Amino acid sequence: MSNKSDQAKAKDQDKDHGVLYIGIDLGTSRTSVAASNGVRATVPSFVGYPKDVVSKKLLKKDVLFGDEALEKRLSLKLYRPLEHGVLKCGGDKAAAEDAEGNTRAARDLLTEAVRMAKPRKDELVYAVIGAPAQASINSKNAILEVARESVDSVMLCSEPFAVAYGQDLLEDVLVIDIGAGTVDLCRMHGTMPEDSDQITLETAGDFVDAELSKRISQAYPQAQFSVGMIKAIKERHSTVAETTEPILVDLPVNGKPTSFDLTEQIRGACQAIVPPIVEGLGKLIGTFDPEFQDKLKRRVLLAGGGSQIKALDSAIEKAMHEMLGSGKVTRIEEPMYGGANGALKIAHDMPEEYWEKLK
Amino acid sequence: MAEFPIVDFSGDGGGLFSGEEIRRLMGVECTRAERYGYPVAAMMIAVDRLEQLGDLYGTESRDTILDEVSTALERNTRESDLLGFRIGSHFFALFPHTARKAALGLARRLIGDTGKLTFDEGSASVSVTLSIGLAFRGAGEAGRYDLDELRSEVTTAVLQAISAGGDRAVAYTPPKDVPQVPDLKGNLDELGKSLETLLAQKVAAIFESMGQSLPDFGGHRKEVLALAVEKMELAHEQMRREHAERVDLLERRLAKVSQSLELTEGELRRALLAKGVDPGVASIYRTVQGLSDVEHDLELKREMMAAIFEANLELRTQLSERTGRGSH
Repeated sequence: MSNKSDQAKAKDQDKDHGVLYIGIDLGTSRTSVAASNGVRATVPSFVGYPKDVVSKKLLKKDVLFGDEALEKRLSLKLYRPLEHGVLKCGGDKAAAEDAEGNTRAARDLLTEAVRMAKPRKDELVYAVIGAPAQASINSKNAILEVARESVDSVMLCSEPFAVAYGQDLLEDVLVIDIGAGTVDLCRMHGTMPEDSDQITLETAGDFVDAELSKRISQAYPQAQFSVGMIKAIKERHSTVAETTEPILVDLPVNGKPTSFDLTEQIRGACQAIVPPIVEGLGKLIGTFDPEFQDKLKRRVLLAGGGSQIKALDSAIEKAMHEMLGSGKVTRIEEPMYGGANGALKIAHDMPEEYWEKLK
Repeated sequence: MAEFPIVDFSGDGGGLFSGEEIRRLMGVECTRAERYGYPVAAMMIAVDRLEQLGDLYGTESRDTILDEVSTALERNTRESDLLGFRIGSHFFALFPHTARKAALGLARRLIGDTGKLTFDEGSASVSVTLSIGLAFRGAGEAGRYDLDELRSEVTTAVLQAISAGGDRAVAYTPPKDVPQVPDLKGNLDELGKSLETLLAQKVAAIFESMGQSLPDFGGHRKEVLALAVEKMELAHEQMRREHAERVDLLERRLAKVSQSLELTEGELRRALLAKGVDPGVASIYRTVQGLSDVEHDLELKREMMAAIFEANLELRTQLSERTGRGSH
């Protein structure tokens, strides 16, 4: 035991050349990192391990991440360690299949995220990780447990809070953070948001994928596609605009590429996330001080990868007008890094003594 | 003194006396004044910007102006008192029995009279002004009755009058406490030698610092040094030019930034006015007193950081407890 403690001390003494602060948005679909050394990187949240000795020898790697893992998925045991914004291995989903594999994948994904931030060997690494607004205690503990092995000190914070904090909007703001697993709504009113200030919805990016698959299957039963293909189609063509060019996509039919008009299917699937969001906004606005409700409606911030759906801000505004009387939605400039940038800002602003205590 | 109504202001040598003769007579007058102790005043008169007027309106107009000034001079003096001649475009005159006060009065009259003169040159009407230098002897004035000395003094005085802008009379004032210059030439020679030695040492040091021995200038050391000086001057001139260009560039940038700042300030004022925000001293007071939004936000952020920390500490405690239970 004392030997282990000595080793830890020696390790700390080696790391006496400053601190690298990292903000991590550990997302269901993508993991984004922003670091105090200026590095910003993102990787799809997929982790793959060679299935057998042959594939290991062929791939020449023990573990693959992101697009590379997806590309070589036939030779890999592929993991997507997060679901609905939390680790599959922890808490509510602990009983899910292959808990051990998912834990390992989550750990490796976080290690990869830290590696992408390019810390020096002599630097301490302090990280703030964004978690879904209403993640359970068990889910948060699972993330903490995994993260502690990759960094020197770690803290969790609410993902939509991190987005608002990153934009310096701390008062009378509503944040909509649309990820792949969850849509987080958060009401900022000059104090730390409590549970009653936050709503987590599961009608997020994955929900759109499922909805799109269903609609295509109904309209074109002969079309063949996979989840990955649907995701790629959504990322390229997603829109809720009422007028748009026809969206023609090639999908195989009995092995032959065939062109399909998916305009209505894509628009309908994307539009499906709007009513739950506006309903959630209505709840947060309706329970707020009546004097400031109008101000809150005028300050709605749209963030996250899902916010890149074309004309989504206008669609939410329109729905807010219909359901709540008025609304003004502003899309943040870098939706992919909004959470990570905010988490990095929190890491920076966090007093050193707090980091020390959580080491 | 009546025997000296001698004036030769024509300058063409066509008068009764030549310039040399008049100069001699002036010397005699000086000696006489010294002997009998009466005052004399010397006066050097120059027409301001005569050269430029000549260039503008031709040499004929120049001669006309000088003739008119000469006439004015004769008109304003007692014929018996005037003894003078012209040196180029200047008039030099000696006034026996004329002390400082009278001489200055005469100079003022001359300046006033000449100022009234106008010369028509085609469509232009030209006015001229005079610069007058004066020097005095006798009646308590310092200095020897020496014509050359008087002439030197009035020359100095008239140059002072010209450099002060013309149209005025200046009385010569002897320089105060002129330090004695001991054997200037000998000192200069010595200084020159010292400088040469110093220069040679410097040049040798420069070559040494470059790791090279002093080259043989083949008896052309001075020429080489002169060339080096010329090169240095060229380099200096180029550097000066470059600096001037950079200063010019910076000035233009500064002007642009100032303009941009003015626009921004204007826009800011407009926005503040539209939103009813007080941009005055009150807002500065709020900032200084820590009552501004910035301070408020900082306090808020500190509270939020503390809340995040507390929540994470609680999570950590729960995790530790669970791990502890698991290990048991």
